[in-house]
Amino acid sequence: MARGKKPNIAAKEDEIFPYTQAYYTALPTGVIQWIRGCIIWQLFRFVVVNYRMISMIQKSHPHAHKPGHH
Amino acid sequence: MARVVVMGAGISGHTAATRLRSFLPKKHEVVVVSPNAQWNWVPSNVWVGVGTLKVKDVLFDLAPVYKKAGIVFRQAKAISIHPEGDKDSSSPYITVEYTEPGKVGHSEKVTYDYLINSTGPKLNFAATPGLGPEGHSHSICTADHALHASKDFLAAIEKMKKGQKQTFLIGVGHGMATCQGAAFEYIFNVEFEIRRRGLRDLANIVFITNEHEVGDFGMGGVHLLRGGYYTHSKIFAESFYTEKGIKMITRAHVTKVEAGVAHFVNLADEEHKIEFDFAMLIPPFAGVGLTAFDKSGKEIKETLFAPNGLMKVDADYTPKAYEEWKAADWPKFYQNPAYNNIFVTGIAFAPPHFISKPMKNSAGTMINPTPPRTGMVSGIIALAVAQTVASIVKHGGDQAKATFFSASMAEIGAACVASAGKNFLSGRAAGITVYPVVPDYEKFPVFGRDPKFTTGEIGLGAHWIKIVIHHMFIWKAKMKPGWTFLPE
Ligand SMILES: Cc1cc2nc3c(=O)[nH]c(=O)nc-3n(C[C@H](O)[C@H](O)[C@H](O)COP(=O)(O)OP(=O)(O)OC[C@H]3O[C@@H](n4cnc5c(N)ncnc54)[C@H](O)[C@@H]3O)c2cc1C
Repeated sequence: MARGKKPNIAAKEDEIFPYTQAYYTALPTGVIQWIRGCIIWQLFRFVVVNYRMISMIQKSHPHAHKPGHH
Repeated sequence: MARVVVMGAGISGHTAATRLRSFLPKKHEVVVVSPNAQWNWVPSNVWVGVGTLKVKDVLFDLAPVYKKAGIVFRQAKAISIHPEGDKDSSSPYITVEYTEPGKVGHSEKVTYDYLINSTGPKLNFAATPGLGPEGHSHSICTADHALHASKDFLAAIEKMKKGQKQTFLIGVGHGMATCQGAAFEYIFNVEFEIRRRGLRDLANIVFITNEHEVGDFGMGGVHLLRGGYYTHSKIFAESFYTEKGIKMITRAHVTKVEAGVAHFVNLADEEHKIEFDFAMLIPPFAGVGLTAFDKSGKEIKETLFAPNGLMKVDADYTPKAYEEWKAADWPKFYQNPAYNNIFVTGIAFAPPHFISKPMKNSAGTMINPTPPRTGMVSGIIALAVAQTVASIVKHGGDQAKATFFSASMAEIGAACVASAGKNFLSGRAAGITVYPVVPDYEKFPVFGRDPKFTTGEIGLGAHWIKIVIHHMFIWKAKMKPGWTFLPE
């Protein structure tokens, strides 16, 4: 009988065996999974990620080269 | 009066044509030659492929949009380029073959002053026997392919409802395929749709890829600054696949697809096969098969095109070892070196080399992704080319007086929102920014990218961004009010 507390990870326990590729990966805790769907937090992230994307897109727009300098 | 001919009305061709129309006075003509009557917002094909979006929601008719904008549209396929004209005239022209109902097969010459090649990729299913919708696997690269994929996917769901186990094989169908991002999105949408229906225990979901490690995406992967560590995208991608119980096969070249069985070899020379009930495998890309002739009628295909059929531009094509690759090898202006009135946008240009490190097995089979040219990259290149061509036209063709606009992939980034399930409240997506797409180890030592603009996270917020992007880009492509203010 299991005595330790089951780790609060998102993946199913029976799919993760020692010495398989899955065993070596980083896995999110239940808290992280909950945050990914938490409406209030995600509304905030929606704004942050949008801002990040827009500033990166602005940085990526074509650069003008003066006549004869291309 | 100048005439600019744009070949291809996909993401980059449509951007080039519409931007040019807005930059140039009406006395100049913008002509678009493209075989499809409709424009397709390709990124949302992922949702069509799992049946969560109707095919009509990713398509619209081009003719009315072009008519309103003052763009001449020929529903035809470009066949050959004659950059010096022919014996009768020195005006450059292309030959086209109509696909428009009522004119099918009819050929015509279309003369140009400036030519923009935006023909995108040929979906090269023939590179792997049995690959593709005419063989034994599906694709989501066109709206029609995605629709067919959704029918078989939903049929597999019905079988699971009756208690039958199903294996879903999703990934890339060749050692030199690109577009791993699309396969990544599709597999997570497939998993989401199966789990949503309570059928997850009956599904064996397997990702097959030519990437050295998952999370490479044809860019060698990216390092993201999270939790106080610079962490490679392999860690995040592997984590996400494991979390969803998706098995991973990496470093694989699919050699053959038969009914229900895919054969593959890997970098370690091992030959394997995997059985499936449903497969969606992205094909490798090549040029669309355009050819070219000089004034005397001699074929000059090698002058304009690289051996893979993609068009040569102002890149450094000198063969070099991976360790010697430089950001400066990548083109800036997308101008053909032999004919300076020909430009290229999007997937149609020949990259100087890969971004991911080339890998071969001992039989010499190359197993590594080719460089991705995503929608944003294709759109920005198209904008730069449109700005340059407009400036040249406004200066009466004097290129020395014109302003050139550069958009090297080593100077532009990519914003990718990879969907992992479509639902307004339970949907998820990975919102990723990478800057620059091609790593520049001189500017950004160690990782080649700017950590400030190279970020990623999974959540519902990123899914909402994906929905906004879907509506925003279709609005923009329809040239509806304010479209010119929307970014590429
Ligand atoms: C399933 C899927 C999902 C994707 N998701 C994303 C995403 O989320 N974000 C992102 O940034 N990118 C995404 N991409 C990549 C994006 O779709 C491409 O980068 C983009 O379509 C490339 O634009 P393009 O203009 O070069 O080619 P295309 O959009 O393929 O356009 C090529 C055009 O040329 C036409 N053509 C072909 N042959 C000829 C000819 N002989 N003469 C004239 N015209 C011709 C074609 O009909 C087509 O209209 C995705 C791709 C796929 C397949």
